[in-house]
Amino acid sequence: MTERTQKGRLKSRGIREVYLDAIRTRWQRWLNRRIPPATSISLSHRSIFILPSKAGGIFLLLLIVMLITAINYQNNLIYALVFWLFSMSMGSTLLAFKNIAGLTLSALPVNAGFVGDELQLTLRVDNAKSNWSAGLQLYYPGNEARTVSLSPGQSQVIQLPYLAQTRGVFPNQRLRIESRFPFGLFTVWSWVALEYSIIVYPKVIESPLILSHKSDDDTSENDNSFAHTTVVDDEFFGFRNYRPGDSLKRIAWKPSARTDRLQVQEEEPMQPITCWLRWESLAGIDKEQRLSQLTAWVLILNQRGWRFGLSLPNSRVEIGDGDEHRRRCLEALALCP
Amino acid sequence: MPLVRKSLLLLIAGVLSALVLHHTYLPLGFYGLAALTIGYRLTIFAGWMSFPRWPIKATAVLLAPAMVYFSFNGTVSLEGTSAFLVAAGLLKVLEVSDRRGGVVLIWVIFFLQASGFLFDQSFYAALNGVVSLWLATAAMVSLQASTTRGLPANIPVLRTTNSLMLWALPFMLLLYFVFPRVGPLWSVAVQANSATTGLSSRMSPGDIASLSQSDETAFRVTFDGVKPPQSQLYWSAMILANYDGRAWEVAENDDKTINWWLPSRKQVAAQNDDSFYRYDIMMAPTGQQYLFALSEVVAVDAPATNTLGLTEEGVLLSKTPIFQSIGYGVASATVATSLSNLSQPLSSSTQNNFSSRDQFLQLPRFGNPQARALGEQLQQETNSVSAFARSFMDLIRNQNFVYTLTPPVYGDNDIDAFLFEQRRGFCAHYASALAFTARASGIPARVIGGYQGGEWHPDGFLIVRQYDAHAWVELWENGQWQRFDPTAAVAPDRIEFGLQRALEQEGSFLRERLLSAQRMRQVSWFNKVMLQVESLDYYWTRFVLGYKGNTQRNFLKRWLGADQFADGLIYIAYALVLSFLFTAAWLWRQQRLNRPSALIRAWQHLQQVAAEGGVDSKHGTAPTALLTDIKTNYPVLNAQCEVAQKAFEEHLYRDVSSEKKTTRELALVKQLKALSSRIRALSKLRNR
Repeated sequence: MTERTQKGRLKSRGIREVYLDAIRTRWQRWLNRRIPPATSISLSHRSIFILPSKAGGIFLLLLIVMLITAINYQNNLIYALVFWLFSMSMGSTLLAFKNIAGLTLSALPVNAGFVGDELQLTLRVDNAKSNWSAGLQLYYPGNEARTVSLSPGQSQVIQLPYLAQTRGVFPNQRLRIESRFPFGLFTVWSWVALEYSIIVYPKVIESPLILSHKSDDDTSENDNSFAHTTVVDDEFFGFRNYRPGDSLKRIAWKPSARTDRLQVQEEEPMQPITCWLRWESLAGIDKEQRLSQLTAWVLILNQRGWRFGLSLPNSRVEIGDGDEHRRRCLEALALCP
Repeated sequence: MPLVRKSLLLLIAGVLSALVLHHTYLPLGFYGLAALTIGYRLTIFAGWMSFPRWPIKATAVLLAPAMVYFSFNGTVSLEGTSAFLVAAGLLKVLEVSDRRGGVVLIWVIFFLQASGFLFDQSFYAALNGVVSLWLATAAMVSLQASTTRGLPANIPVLRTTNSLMLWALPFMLLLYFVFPRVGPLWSVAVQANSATTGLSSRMSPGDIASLSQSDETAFRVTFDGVKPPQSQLYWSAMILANYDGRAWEVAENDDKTINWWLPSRKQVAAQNDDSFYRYDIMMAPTGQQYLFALSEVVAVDAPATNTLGLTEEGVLLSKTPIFQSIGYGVASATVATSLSNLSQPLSSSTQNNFSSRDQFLQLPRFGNPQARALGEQLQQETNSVSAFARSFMDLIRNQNFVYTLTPPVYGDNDIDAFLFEQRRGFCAHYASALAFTARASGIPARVIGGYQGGEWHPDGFLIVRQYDAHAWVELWENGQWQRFDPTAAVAPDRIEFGLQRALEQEGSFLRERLLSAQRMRQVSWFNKVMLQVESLDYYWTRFVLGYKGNTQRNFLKRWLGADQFADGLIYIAYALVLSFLFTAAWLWRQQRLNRPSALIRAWQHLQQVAAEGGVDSKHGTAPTALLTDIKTNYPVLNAQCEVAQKAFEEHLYRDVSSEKKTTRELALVKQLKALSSRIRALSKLRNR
């Protein structure tokens, strides 16, 4: 019996979820038609929404109570006060609208980031109107908001934090620009999708480095590749115990923490090492996990100045080095289907 | 969002402004509380102290209601409720530290102001309301304009406030005039201890003397047509028929005998215009039910139907105690009008079946033996009631009686002491003495409490003040009540010119009010200002506060042709639609201003058409590059494209006079449009 009711509840929740999802997708579709994503968007009546805020609801209740007082005590001055307040709140909708209508939001170039990083999405807000835009709040849902007030003709560059959660091409997330000026009784807002051409790299998961020493990349010998791999750990990079006289700059803090003794990094080998990072070398692990580990390795090797190549199921990056090479590798990882 | 200085100061000023109207009833302790909380909050703001911790807050939250409870003896009254609100608002001042708290405090300010209007509705109260509204609105704007970094400099907080208030004013007026004034939805808590001054339903001889120290306006009268002479302005309010040996008291009214269905003035006016005084009275709140009128009341225009009634004795009454200024119209029979001519006398006292005769003869069994003897003596000497009264008044006139505001305190047998020993008294003493002697001699008598006289304002209306309060006597003669005023015998000036003239020698007029404006009427410029203030107050009371019920109905009918309240709602709807259209037009204009130029629009159109026609143009392709792409895709359009390309380059890079530039721009727009339509036609052909 209880099992059945539980099942029923689960089922009903599922249905609700389905409905909510359907509403959400329809809403997004409608928004995409109404306010299409662009690199620069001017807010107009087409893209601005306005509704009473919570404070506005309480204010309405207050007005009703005051109106009842006026009726019951037949008090003309209270009538006048109520009507004036009501008319002013109606007038405030116009000012609220004017506060954000005519603003232009433009996307500015942004640095790429990793999943789990807080991207700083940079945009410029131009107030070309003849009136102030006071108390604007901008944020990506779920992220911290930035507040800004713009005098007539003023422009301001702001960075909105955005916690990257999926790798790949940055989806055109909608940011919310909102204001409650002048009274706080109405919220005016818009959902703006600024197009940023950035790529979010996979999450970095640090793990022991596994390298393939085979210089040729015969992928048919998939199974063999394990035989030629070496687990590269801290030892590999040559840490040794700290000796008096070692430069403090060479202390490796992370391994030190692991061993409870100060570790010092030994000199890098003069000759850059050449190697391949292979998808296959991580067989048996979850796909995203694999990508994350490969990302970490790319970062480490790039930092060390090694020459390396990257081989993925659908793409490969030839051996190379430098920041451009790093970018290509990370993009390949990010865009891996 | 922390509170910025401007917001805090505006909020505190707003609270103080909203408290002004509550001064009439607030106990002194509340001023202490206000000084304490506001002072505390300001020192917090200055950084000298920190916000109170919870023990202080908890103590305050417990003490404030206790203070309210003990100040108002634990009764639930309007004053008590408002005082509680005041206390809560003041405590909130202490605590307010962020935007949310500020918003709550603004709600409190609005509500305090509204409840303040329950105690004072004068013109000055309205001005005070405007100030409070302005302060609270400015506080709202400043709260919303401030960010985590504070209030941006130069942000137009006050200008926004002003423009919003002015913008809203016409809408407010429209709603004010059109919104139907319906009756109370349910009966409400009323003032427990009304601060209003006025007659009380129990009059001991000293009472009216104390009333005479007040120069507050009791009511104002506007006559329509004939104005009665000053000596006939006897505004009766209540009939004091019960005498207990010390004071005269109003007899309880039997509700069943009150006539709530009174004819309106229109109904009687047609009969004979000269036989009636027709007047409108605007009276200040009294907290009681009595109304003022000249006897004999013939017709009444009530503010709303069946709210005013007439007792059997001919006294006007309101159904509910009067806590707000009200206005009503009355028609009274002139003295010349023979009552028998009236088709239907309103009060039964004018009829001959005088049932409650004993009530008007009732006296205590003992006391004042000399006065009783006097009554019997006068009765034997005279042969009619009028002659009786006349000889009583002759007695007063001839025996060095003094009309004074400062009579001695009379103990037992007060009427004997007054008549035969001290001979000093105010109107109530004389009225009381006459009524007593009359009753002692078997003549039905009653004391009437009300006002006598008043001051004529140059604008033509009559102002009756509290010090015009008066008491006189009515005696039953030939089947009807006749008015006799013994005060006229001792102080004829009181009746002809008013109290100030009558007390000129004694100098006791408004003695307790050294600063009273009425004492300074001799100074001519001051008098002028006073008259201005009076007429302002008069028109305010008459047209603003009196705007309800029938007044509203007439106003709407006259100006809008609206017959019913429902029509008023239709006008509200019209106004809403109009303002909506206005806003839409404004938005449309705004959008036109922001619209891109014709050239850019033509260009965007071309881009779109080209994209549909298979020419892939990426956003941001240079104009000339797109035209080249079109050429390769549609070789037919080669020549046309080249012309456009050239024109485009010229437009962009060649420096020519602005006049030439506009003509060329127009030509270019034409070319681009032509190109667009050609491409569209060609791509259609291709698709086929």
